[in-house]
Amino acid sequence: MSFGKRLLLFIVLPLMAAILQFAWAGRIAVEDATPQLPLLLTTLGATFCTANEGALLGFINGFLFASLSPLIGGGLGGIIVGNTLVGFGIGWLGERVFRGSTFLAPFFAAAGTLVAALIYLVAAPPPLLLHWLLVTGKTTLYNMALAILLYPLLRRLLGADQNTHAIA
Amino acid sequence: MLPPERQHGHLRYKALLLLLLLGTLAGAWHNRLVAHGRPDPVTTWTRTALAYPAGTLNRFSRWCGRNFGWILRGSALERENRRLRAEVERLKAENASLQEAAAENVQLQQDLGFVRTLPKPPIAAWVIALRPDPNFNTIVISRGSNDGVHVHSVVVTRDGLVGQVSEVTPNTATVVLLTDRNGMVGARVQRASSRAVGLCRGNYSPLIPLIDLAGDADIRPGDKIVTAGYGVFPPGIPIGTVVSVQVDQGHTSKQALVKPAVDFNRLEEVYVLR
Repeated sequence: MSFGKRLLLFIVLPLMAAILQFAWAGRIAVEDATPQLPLLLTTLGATFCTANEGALLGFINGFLFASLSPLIGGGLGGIIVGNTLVGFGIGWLGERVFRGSTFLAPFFAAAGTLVAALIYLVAAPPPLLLHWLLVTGKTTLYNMALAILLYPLLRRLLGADQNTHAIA
Repeated sequence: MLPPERQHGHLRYKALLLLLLLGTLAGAWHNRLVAHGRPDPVTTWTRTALAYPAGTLNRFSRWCGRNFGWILRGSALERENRRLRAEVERLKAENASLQEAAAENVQLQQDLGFVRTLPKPPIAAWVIALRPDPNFNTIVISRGSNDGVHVHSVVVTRDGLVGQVSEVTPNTATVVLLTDRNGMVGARVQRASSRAVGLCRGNYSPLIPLIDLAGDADIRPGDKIVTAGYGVFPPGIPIGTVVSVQVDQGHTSKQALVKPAVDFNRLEEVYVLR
């Protein structure tokens, strides 16, 4: 895949995830569980990236998601930093330890969602911890389920020749 | 780019450190602006830009749901849907003839019912995002500062109170729903023999706690709860119906749970009070 095409995907995919999150997240809720599509894109996309590419993908997704969030009580920095670290971490693991697979995708999604939520918890402590735990648990489960569906699509888009024209 | 194993440590993490620094600075800048009551231009611009495609997608999906939703919902529901559609057509025709009989604006106001009671006509808005962030019970609506919406504007439907605007961009506004922890409103029992007053404060559950009621407050299940008229909220807007009442051990205060009059999961159109 050419550098230009890969760069374009790094812009288009986060924008699509953010628009879908904006328009549909609340509408596709199951028992009050809603997905976090930008974060899911970070966790799954980073498995096809170098560590620095994963960080960049996480940064873009984090910024877009933070722009949609009401951010009552702050937390913009926490969301961006959380997504960036998750993207970097998964990219780093992918480079050194193992490549992603459809089987592993839900676990990456779960780990990424939990780590980002923990960083957000530190950056902007929520008023009700129980509610935060409940939301995080439900979002994690939803992201895990969606990961199984989205992973093959992302592998097709980002997986080919992933290191030959790396962005960062 | 060098393969990972050939990169030096400090080069390896330079990009990450730069992005983390950028993210932290952006967060600090945002918090600083918000603390001074000013909107963050970068997130405002981004949200405004995303609102257009998201709004279009939302309208398109609603159209698909109306026209093709029967595929998912099954044939029984489709029959019910057909019957209701026929009923709607009949009512539409009836409505059209009624509209001809009276002045158009007055008739529309009568259809909306509650609008007549308002001192100024409200601003109608579409819901373009329902709870975009799972951590908050908020919606984003298709009207902003350009339309006269401002922070603390009160948002209602014809069923009752929805919440209060917390953030505005030129073309969108974020509304904190009553069920959110940050949504609270002075409330009153709508019964002549009671008029007990308390505070409705959301805790993210579907039922809204009505707290700060006096120990001898006359409140019982089935009572209608309306806004008390404190702060920016006009009095008399329906909030919901009491489903249960609890008395604390010392009988010094009561707490009730209120089922909201508005179905927050099915919000499509709302009105912003001027």
